[in-house]
Amino acid sequence: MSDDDLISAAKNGDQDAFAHLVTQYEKRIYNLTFRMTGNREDAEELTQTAFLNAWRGLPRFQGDSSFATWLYRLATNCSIDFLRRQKRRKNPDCLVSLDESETQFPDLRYAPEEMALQDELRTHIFAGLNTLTPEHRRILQLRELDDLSYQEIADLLSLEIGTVKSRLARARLSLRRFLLAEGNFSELFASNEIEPKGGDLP
Amino acid sequence: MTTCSDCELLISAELDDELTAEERNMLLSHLEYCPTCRALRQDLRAIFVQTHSLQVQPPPDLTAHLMLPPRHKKPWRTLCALAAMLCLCIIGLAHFLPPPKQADYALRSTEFATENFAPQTARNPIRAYSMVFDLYKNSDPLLPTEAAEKVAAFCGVNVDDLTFLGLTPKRDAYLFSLCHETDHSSYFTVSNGVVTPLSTAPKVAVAMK
Repeated sequence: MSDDDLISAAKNGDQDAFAHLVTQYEKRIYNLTFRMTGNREDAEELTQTAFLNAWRGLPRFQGDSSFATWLYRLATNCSIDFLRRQKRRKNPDCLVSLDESETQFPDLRYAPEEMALQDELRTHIFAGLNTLTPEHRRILQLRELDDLSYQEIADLLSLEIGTVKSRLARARLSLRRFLLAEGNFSELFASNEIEPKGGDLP
Repeated sequence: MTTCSDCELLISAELDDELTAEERNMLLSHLEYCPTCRALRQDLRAIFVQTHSLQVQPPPDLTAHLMLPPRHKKPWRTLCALAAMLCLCIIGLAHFLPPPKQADYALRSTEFATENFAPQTARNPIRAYSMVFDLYKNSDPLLPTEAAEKVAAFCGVNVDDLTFLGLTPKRDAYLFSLCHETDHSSYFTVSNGVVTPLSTAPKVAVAMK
């Protein structure tokens, strides 16, 4: 069954159809919420909340955007609400707004338990992603960690497909430049044998 | 004629499987005579693989939790009922039962560690020692300071140079974290009074700025 068929069935109360959609998208949504909270338990709870909201909101889903884009927005909103509540609890006078595009990856260097799960290269990739501009970081997250298609990213960020394409390329070049400068990928990088190109796209 | 700038775009799109047949031909023709772009392509592929490996796996029972019939999910009502029941139980039992051993141990350990190890002041902790106390399975665990001394001896560092990072309660254990200004991280379990490295130290190398 296609996504459209599953969504139609789920709208009519078919829980098995909804279960298929959950299985299909739970990893992406879990990754998104984990990245935003840096905590597995919170990520699990927020993933469940996002899917619960999706089930409740299905009758209002008109298919203007893809199901993935809609679900992604729901999960992002849940996570932002959660982070705002956390922030307010810690600092009631703080009115700082939270923007998903500005959230960074959790710094795992001081979290020994998480460090055990990472190897050195991945730790440096995390560090490299955090050095990117918010728009470059976000587009790489959407594409490489959340597996959204170019069209879904374009819908989500209100961009032209061509802009998605060129922004992704620039983000990748920036990340590569950081990793080359840090020297952490020496054994992997072919360009160590060749004069590396430092240039961005025009 | 495809330029190197064009090629950067094409290499990126190729990773995402978003090239048309014509674009693919343009890319391959350019790569035939441009070693710099060939190297770029290989680098971006290596990064692509590593970035994908950052994806985290959801817990295996996540789907099962999600698949509870949605019509039965009343999170707030359930939470309120559970909270009310819990309050009644705590109020009722507080007068009769001693504090739970694990909670008491965690509290004492945290106080002890805070008093006996230097607080984390500088952003330069580089060696992290994580000791997992399986308190729930262990009736007589080591005190953190005893475990820290054993770990310090094992690693050949002075226990006084360790910095206390925190004690984190887990489902069936406590994670006790220390750090030291060197350049590697090591992991240990502490069980039945014995410190055991989880693998040949250092297990995880993390370079710090």
